[in-house]
Amino acid sequence: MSTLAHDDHHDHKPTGLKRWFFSTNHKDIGSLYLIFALTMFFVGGAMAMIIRAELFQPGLQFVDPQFYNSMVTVHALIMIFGAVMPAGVGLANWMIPLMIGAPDMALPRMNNMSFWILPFAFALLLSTLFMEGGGPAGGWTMYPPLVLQTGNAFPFLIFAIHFLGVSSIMGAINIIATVFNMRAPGMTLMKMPLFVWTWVITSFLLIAALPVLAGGVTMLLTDKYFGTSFFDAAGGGDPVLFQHIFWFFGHPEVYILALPAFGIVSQVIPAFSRKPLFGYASMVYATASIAILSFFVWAHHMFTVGLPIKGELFFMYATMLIAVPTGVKVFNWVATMWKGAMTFETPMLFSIAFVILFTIGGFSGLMLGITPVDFQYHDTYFVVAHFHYVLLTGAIFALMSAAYYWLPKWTGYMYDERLGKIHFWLSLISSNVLFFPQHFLGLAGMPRRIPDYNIQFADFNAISSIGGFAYGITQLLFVYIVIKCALGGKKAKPRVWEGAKGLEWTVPSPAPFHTFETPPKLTKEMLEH
Amino acid sequence: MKSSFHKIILALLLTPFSAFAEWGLNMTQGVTPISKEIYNMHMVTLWVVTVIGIVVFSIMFWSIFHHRKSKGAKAAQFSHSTTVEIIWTIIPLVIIIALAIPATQLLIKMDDTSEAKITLKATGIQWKWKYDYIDEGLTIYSVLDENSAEVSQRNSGKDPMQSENYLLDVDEPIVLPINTKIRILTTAADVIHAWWVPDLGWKRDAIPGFINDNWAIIEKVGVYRGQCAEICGKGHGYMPIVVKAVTMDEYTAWVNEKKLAQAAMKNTSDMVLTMEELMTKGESIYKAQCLACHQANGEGIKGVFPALAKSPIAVESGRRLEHIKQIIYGKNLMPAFGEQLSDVDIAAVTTYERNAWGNDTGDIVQAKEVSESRSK
Amino acid sequence: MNNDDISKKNRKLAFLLAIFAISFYLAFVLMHSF
Repeated sequence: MSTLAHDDHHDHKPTGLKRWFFSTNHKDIGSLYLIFALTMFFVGGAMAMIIRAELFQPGLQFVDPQFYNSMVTVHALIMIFGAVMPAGVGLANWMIPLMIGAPDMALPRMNNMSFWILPFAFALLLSTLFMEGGGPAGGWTMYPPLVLQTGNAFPFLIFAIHFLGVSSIMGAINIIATVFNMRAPGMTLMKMPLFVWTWVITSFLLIAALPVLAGGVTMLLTDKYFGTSFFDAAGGGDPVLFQHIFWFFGHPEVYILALPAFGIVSQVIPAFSRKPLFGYASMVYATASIAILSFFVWAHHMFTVGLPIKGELFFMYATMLIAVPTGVKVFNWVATMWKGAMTFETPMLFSIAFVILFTIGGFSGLMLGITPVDFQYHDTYFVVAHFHYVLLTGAIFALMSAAYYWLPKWTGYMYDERLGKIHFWLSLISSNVLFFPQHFLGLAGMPRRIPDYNIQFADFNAISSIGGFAYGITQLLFVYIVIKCALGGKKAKPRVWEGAKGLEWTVPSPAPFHTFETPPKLTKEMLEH
Repeated sequence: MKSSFHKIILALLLTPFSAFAEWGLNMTQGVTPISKEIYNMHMVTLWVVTVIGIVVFSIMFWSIFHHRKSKGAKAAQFSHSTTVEIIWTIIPLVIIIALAIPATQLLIKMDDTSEAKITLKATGIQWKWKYDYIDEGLTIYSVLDENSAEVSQRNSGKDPMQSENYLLDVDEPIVLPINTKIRILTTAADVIHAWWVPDLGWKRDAIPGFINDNWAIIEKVGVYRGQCAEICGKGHGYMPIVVKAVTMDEYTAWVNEKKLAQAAMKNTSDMVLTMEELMTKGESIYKAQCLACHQANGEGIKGVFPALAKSPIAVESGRRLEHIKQIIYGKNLMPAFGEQLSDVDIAAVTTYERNAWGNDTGDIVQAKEVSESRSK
Repeated sequence: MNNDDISKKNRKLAFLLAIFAISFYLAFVLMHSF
């Protein structure tokens, strides 16, 4: 890594393997998370390519149905737990101490463990693909009784999930303690950058939701091996109980994926509009409302299981309600742009695309929230289109925006702007070719999680697959851009972007190994609002 | 200019978007009163979000073009307006309440399964559907049709584009009468499945150990196709649903015909077939019922589905009874076929398995032996 | 406030949050066990 370190106080800074295995430095750990996430993005992406290759034409050409199902399952587990979440935590690690004027995270050794659990957990998970019986293939949602038919892979799946949960919970604890206890004097909560706010709120979601997932999968484990029947009707249990437990975790989980993205965009758009974020206080309250409401909507993933009508109605109303604070945020971003003086460097391109495409995902989300119509949409490609819009053209585009925005701060060099723009436009077009037709497929009646389909679905599947291959290849360009930037280029100033505000832009680029060892004296220009 | 603008708006509003369903672009209106109401609710919501999107994105694009530094724009510095924030919180809230009201009414209508004339129970089994016409005492098993099963094999060399109703056809469709309220119960025997026929307007999970309650009134004669809609293992994409809606008279005739056939199937134990007849019949049954797991070459899938080729249970004479009983009662992941297959069917498939793939035992199993095995 | 005090505060808060997380886990498992 090119983060050169030199600081008067510390004359020993570890090098080589020790530096990376035993790091307690938030910048190094942040980089580890980000590189890990990028690697997992390609592993999960390869699985997506296998899926799209098989779905390119009707008939079964490349894989058999069981392996296909395991690709569908592991693709999701990797993207959610191995790509988006670690990338988010990586950004949090790098940027939160810088943004609040703290020297490091609150618990640096725990920070190290939080990261190093991840490669171990994913080695466990990925190893199952090579076991007899294959990897888990019941969907990332792991519903029983089907998931209990998993063979030798089953305990590895459960333990991997446990480890991933522990990693995230520890990360969340670290973030809350850092933000609560280590802000520079004068940085009140309502003066913090919104990125920090969204991460604090996300951390509370993590602490409340992940233990529930751990509980649920523990019950799966005991049902299979220790004679319990939590989810077995014959023993007095109920398979739907798992779904309640899983989605009580699962819905806050999707906001765990989305809220940091909101935070990123709330940094980037004001910087490139040269205008403060519109409605900062509302943005904080809207984010908090979304987080709280997210605990009350879980059963909208379960509208077809046969809930009593009062339950269905409650969850429909709560789900539709969440659209209101989300809409507020979108309007606030647009109002930030309005009457600004915008330039359109790559980070801004990705953030603007986020606002538009996440909103489209939000529209299909609202449609899905209307229970009687969900009876047609549920478990079809309409749902697949929805969540890929909010997760790929949503969260991942925001992560790309963040990468371009902060790469010069991390490496000390400007990335190649021309290549960045090419990456953006190719990603934008290919991802829409990939996912927009899937709305039609779902409406036309194509179910999810099937390896083969009737010929009426052939055309849109072919188009979608072509978009998929194009998107996959385009991401290689991103890797090239990142590596090229790390190796050199035009030297970056401390304030890389003209309109960027915040403490991270007051330190040199690349940021020194140790920063803010004494808290900065805050002046008005340093703060964002 | 103005009149062509009006023409375009009129064309857009009057376009029968339901026709898009034929091009695979839109949801079907379906053939029940509920499915049509669901379609309408879908279109209303779609229009609402489309209009919101057009408005918001237009403002964004206008801003992108006009409020740019390269055009010499100077950034304003306002960053809040309580009035505006209140307005754009209230308006979405009103829209959502407006959508929730008809949605609530529709859901309440769908919840009322009372006063149905016919009750049909659909049971999801890995990987087929079993239907019980409760009042008639009639049971129908629906399995993916033989042609689809063959064409869908990996690298089968056959073209799905030439297969009619590929993956959407079954050997035995169910038949229902039009203009009659039908109560449809869904449940499952092993894992969670889901029963979905888009033309009826809804899907419902089929959960082992529990029964879900739904209803439909089909208004139009026709054939309606659907699929399992909850991942249930490797055969999830291969267990379609076919509903044939006919007049009440035709329905009654069909029920009677099927009941006779069902009774006949229960009385096959006296049938005696030649080896050749048993092998032909057995192979056909094997293809439809067993091939998915045990594979065409009888070698199964290592670690998951046992082989039958050269397998002791299919070759050793001491295990002949065990072989027959396993087909009748199932074992672990293998379902029980005793109810679905008649004595002569089981005799045929057992004979086939004991002689195919080089097993060559020369064993001949007749229906009588199977019938006696049921009580052993 | 010196660094040692901040460290103490950090560890205290972390401990509380961990208790919260563990309680959630136990609550969900135990309340569905009876």
